[in-house]
Amino acid sequence: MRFLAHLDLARTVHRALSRAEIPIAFSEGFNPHPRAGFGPPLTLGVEGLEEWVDLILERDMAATEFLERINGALSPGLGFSRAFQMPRRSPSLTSVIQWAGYRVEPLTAPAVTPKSVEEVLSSEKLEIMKKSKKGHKLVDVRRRIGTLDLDGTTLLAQLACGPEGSLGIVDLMVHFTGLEGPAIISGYRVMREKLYVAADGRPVEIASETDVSTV
Amino acid sequence: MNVELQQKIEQLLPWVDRPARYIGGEFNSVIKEPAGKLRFALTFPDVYEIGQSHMGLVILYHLLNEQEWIWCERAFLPWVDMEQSMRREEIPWFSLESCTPLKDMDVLGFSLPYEMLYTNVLNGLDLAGIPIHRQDREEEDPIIIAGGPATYNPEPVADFIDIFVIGEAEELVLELCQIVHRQDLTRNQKLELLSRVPGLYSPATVEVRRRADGSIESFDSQVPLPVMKRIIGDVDQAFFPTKPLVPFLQTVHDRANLEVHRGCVHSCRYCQAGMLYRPQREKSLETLTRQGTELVKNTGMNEVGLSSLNTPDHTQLVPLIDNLNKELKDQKVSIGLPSLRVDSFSVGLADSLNKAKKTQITLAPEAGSQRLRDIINKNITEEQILNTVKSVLDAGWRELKLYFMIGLPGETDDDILEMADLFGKIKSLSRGYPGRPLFITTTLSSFVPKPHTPFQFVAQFPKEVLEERIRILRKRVDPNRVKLRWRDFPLGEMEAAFSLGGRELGPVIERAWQLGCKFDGWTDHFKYDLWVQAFQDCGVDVSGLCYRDKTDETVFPWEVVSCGVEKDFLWRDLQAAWDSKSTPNCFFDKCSACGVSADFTC
Repeated sequence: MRFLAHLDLARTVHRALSRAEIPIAFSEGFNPHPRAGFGPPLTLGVEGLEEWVDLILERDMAATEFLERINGALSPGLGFSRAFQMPRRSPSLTSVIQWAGYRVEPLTAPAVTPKSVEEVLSSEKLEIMKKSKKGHKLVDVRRRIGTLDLDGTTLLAQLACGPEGSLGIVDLMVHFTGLEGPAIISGYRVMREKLYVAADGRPVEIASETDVSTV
Repeated sequence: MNVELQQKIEQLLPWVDRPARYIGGEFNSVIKEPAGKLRFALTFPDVYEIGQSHMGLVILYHLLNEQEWIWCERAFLPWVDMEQSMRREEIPWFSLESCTPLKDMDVLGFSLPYEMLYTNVLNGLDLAGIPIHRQDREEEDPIIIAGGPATYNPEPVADFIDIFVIGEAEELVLELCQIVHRQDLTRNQKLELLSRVPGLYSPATVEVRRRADGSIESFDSQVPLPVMKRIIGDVDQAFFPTKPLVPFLQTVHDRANLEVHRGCVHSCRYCQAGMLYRPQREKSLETLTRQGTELVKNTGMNEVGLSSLNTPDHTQLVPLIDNLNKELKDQKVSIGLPSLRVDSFSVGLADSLNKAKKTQITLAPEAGSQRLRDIINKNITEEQILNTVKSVLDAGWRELKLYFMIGLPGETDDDILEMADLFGKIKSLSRGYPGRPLFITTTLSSFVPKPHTPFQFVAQFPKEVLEERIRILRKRVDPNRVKLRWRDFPLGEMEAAFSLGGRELGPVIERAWQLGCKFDGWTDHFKYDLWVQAFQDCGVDVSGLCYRDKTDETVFPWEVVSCGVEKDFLWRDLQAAWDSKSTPNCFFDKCSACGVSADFTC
């Protein structure tokens, strides 16, 4: 499923909601859309282990009932693991999610070395090439790295993914390895493990409604 | 699941465009335990997004998988980027469900909806590691079958296909599978048995006898010819999958397709589908209401397409739309009509279905002059066209898309000038209406003479003539008011060649494929110069195929098979065309004795 593009995933979830007869609300207007808000898009080829979706329903539904219904309407490889109710008018996911936690395990490509992790952590500045509408440009992304750690050969990283700038895990791995983006995806198992909101400037896991609604 | 191959494939996916084309796993896709099963692969010689929206493929996939003893999987041709990677890594063409190399299947079933896929069939077989020539296949190779509209002239690909399924495969594919699944027979014995099944055509059983000038004299056959098509008698009770697979990717027809009837009662003389799918067979209101409702509930799709060759002909269409609206009112589902007739009734229907967005409406008058519309038996007058446009404007549309053909039999420069006049009349009609001015987009496709139609006897106009007519038209049409688009005429010439040619084209297709032709139906991949070279290298004359008139004495390559419509009728109907005589609608009006009723119940 990691090769599903963001829009394909969204359409797949919309259709699953409809099959599961979840009373999803629709936007007003001539061309109504289901009111489902997705978190930051996953890079094609990166596994999402804990992604979040905001759903606005037309009537209350117990989380257990929701999970049972929706998971019966999804194909293997996609599933909802948790659900909880949010207060009305909560801010959207994309406006509150600030950090993402990644896990990168080498498959066929060499592991990131402790020395290169040290180098990044001890420097003030980390410039990488980012694609923009007007071609490529150098951007300083040092402040977009929250934590960076090695657990054996596995790289663990918390990277910014909020409205004030983000750093993709593939871009960071390109910096570490000098490989092209696709080679990162085929040479490593790249997972997004968690999404975090920021509370007092620190990443906090989304665990219950209070985490999000107090932001 | 072939895990080893799957892992190798996954290694390639980060490098290719739209990797979801190659992952399978869609909702309602079918996974089975393979032991003891007949392994069938539906092979579509084009990319996923095109093949997966092909209704015939979806019906057969689920029909075959209903059988406990069959596992039917799918394989779409990899796009050029993926193919290149697969060849580099020596990964063979594989099935989506289990990543099984297609060489290990029992049957490969190619869909051939149009002719320009032939090089892709060769490329696919080669990528699968299966010999491209049927004569070179051995005991362990799968049996290669093909079906679909293009196989009503099977001869251009007769060197490459073991068995052709003539007609509606739903009717006979299980008979075929039972023979292939027999363990007591060799491959050749199976092919021999299959060649005797009504509706199956085995090119190995037929020798084409030719005269010195290359024209066909007769066929030497071990089986009775022609092979008559097989069709579903009772479409109302026939199998129809209401739990179809739901693609992840957006396919070209990304909606829940509900087939309302098969066949068409009009007798447009250029239209091959209208001849092939006779007689028209309707599904009942009850069946359609139930199937449409189940389709939406089981797929979660938000549009139902009521599909057929001419949906407004369905006698229960209005009640059907009412019923579906009632049943699905909570689902936010829209109902779409893929084809509209040029009449106010159709426009009224489209209006009631699209209260909200009035983006664009499409009408197909097909020819600009009354004389030509009579020749092609379109049976609409200019007054009807203008009245239909009035309904379009009354309903609020301001973008009109018109389909025409260019190079129709009997066409002259005057007919082209009349087309320009028709645009003028439509424009002046729209002047009194409020809102934005009417914008007209016109798509011109080049006429291709098709087998089993009255125009099979008629030569195509050379592409230089068509190009000149486009120049004439462009001089007369204000580009700010009418946008003109036309398809590549060289492509139209090749389509005619492969529609009308016989076994002499086998080496040409093979040569073109060796020269690098594939995905010829994609304008940006169509390489005309390579095709010209392939014809030259093989000593086959394109103009002899496309640009020469034929007579009722001509023996056509496709006479080995029949759709029920008789050659006598086609010849008679061509004379009627030249006399501008109409052939009536055979459902509401009278029978024209096309021959179909001799073999099938109309």
